[in-house]
Amino acid sequence: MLFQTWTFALFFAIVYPVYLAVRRTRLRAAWLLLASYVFYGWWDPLYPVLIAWSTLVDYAAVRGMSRSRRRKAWLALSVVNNLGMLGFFKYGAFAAESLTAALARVGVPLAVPPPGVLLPVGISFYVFKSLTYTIDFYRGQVSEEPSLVRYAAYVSLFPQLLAGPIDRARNLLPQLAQVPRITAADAADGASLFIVGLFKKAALADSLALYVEKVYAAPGAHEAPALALATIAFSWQIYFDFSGYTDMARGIGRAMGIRLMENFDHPYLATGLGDFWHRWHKSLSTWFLDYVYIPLGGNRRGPVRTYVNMALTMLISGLWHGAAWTFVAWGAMHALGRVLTRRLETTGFYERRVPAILKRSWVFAFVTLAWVFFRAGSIGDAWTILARMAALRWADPACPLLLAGLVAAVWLYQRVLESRFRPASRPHLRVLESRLLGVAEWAPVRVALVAGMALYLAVAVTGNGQPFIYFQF
Amino acid sequence: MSGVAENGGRGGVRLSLHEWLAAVAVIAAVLLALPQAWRRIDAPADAPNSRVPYRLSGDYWMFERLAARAAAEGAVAVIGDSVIWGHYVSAAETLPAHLGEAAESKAALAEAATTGAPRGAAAASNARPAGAGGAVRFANLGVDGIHPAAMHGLVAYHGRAVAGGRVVLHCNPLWTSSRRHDLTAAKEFAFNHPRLVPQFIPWIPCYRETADGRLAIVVGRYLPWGSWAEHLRVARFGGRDLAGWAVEHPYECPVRQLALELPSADDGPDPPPDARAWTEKGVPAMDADWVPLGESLQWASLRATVDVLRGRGCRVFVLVGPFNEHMLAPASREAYKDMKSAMAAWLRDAGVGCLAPAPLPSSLYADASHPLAEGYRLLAERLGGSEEFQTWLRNE
Repeated sequence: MLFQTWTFALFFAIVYPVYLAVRRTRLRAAWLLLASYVFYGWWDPLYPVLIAWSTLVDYAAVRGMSRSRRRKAWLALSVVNNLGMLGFFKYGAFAAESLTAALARVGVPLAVPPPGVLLPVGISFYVFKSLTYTIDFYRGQVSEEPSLVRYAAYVSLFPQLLAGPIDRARNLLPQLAQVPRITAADAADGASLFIVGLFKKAALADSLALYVEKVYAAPGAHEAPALALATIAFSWQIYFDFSGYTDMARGIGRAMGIRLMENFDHPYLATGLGDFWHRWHKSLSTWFLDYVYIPLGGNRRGPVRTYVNMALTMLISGLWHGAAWTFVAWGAMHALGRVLTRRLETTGFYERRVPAILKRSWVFAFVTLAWVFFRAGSIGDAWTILARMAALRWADPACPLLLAGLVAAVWLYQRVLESRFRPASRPHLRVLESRLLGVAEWAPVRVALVAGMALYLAVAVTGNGQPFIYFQF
Repeated sequence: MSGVAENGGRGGVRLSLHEWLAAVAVIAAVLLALPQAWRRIDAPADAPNSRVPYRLSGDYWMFERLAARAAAEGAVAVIGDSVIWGHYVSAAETLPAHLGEAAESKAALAEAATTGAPRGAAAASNARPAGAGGAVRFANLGVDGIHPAAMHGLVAYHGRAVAGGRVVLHCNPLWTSSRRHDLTAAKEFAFNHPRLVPQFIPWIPCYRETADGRLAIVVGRYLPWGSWAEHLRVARFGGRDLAGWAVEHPYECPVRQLALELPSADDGPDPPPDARAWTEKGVPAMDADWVPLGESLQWASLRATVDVLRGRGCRVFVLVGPFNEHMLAPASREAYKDMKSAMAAWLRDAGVGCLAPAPLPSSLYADASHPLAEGYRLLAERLGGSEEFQTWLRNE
């Protein structure tokens, strides 16, 4: 069930009033759980079985940890079970293919059979979410959840089930235990987040996807301008797609009195690669920080280990995104970028002397170039794209000006909003920013923006419900 | 009130409850007013024998506009597929056009007999309203490819203006000539006007669409701006949404598309169909596998369409065929005759006026069901000469 479909509207029209009615009773968690399992089962009736298994094992693991001395063994059970599920469903086919190819290279013609199962949507997200409970309990950072129903509702919470944010148990379980306080402002905020997310997804991401698909489907048939513009378009497509999903998820959560963590903070306004990862998919970045980078030793074991840990974390993050060598290459590229720029980004010269526009431009250029590996169908395609871009041969890119204009308007709007938190250093620019911010935040302008987005969606978008990119992860 | 969400949400517009109410009022006002205002911009051509331009066959808003005009003028709505629309002929050579012409002549003769006025003065214009002493007008509400299952949707959701008047429905037996035509085949395939067919009940086994897609179609039928938004896509943006069109026309301004002239009633298929008799084209004989009426979705849909129209106070007359029986293999022809009789019998039993005329001469058909220009003239003559039709036409 996709948020941008009428099916979801119907689902929510049933779920929400009942939720409001039972929110002060013990049925609240049970209703959330039922709704979430129906939501997930809509994709495939067998999916709830998988999530129920992961939930039961982790619930039992924490009970085991709290009642026995073999805490490590119980934690190991949870980690092996969750990562085993992820490994089997997500990486089974990739491992079999890679092994077959490797064997063929050394002259062993053995075809390793793939598991023959499809990747259940959202598994990467709920497995990580459930792990935060067992690991944090082991670390003493969260208390045991007595109610299995409430714990199951936490793992499967439908707004964030399919693509996050990967909320920590310590953030969400206490919220689910309390009677949610839902005010008119919550409903209004929730609706605001939802409409913005819907616009990002249906009006921007799905539109950009048309141009990206046209070029990336046949990279050999396009020259540098089209390939470069399609790659830039993909940068925005994936941002609008994923942050749009997150906005909608947070909006639904807000309307239900549940505050989900923020996932994006204008990542393309980042002034360094480190800054970028503090702004992009924050719930995953902090997950890898808390559960991979720091356990590996973080920056506590000297500079060499720091860089190694950083690179390993980025590589694993790349592999988390998809079971293909293109994602490994994407992670490796970011790892290399982080290793090379970590020191630079902390210098006074970079922080104070280099103009923000330059820093933003290079970060955007690097991140965009890395997306080539993320989006390309294969490593071969990625090299073809990079080689043809480098050849600098001219051909009309046929890039739709309408979409370029929409993206430019959104970027400018974000830039204006960003100035509230990171004002320009030059006084005359600060005055201009302040004026523009005043206009952007003026009530009639905001009302007009929301009305404009809704009208655009109602009239100009077919609304054929394209799946979100991050569902495949 | 800050326009930037607290709790870290720096990227979005945030409205308070009161601001939301204002936004909803603006959105509702625009979505209700704009389609109304657009009627002046994209009015169907005000010419005799108007019909939905071929390129706009999927534009149900245009059908709504023509239906509303027909109702306002008190014209007899003639609804059907490309046989009514006139696939091989110009707008002036279709069945409704010939019926209108015949009615004009008759009215002119009657007027001349009573007032002594010259005949040509009355017959010259097809634009005069119907009424006492005036000729009956016939509005061509045919839509290319509208099989009965889609026609039911067309009338139910886009033909609400057709109420309380006279309606001639065309029943093209072609749609029961095989399980595939009847939409009762098990194998999925793409057919005409899927947005108009029942999405859930009755279940159409050969219709492939996701549950989300079906629900979106059902909801879209009731959105006041739904058919208008679809009209913009079909008539202005080549059937694509704005982004899809922009990718195909990267450097063109979409606003200019809104100023383009709509195609005329004589806008036909491109390339034009071969308007020779079927015998000259070497079309082989047809061995139809007629679907029994009791199992036919198309026949059930036609009956449902009659019920919808009668429920709105319309007086309905059904024209069955005339199918090109010359093209049928002997066994198939006999089965067809039985089916045609059964259709007529059911309609008469239900109190619906009907005519199942004998086939036209073989040379007047372009294919299995479409007459050529002379065929339409002859058919109009037969229909006009039918006592049942005349009785139906006269009775108020």
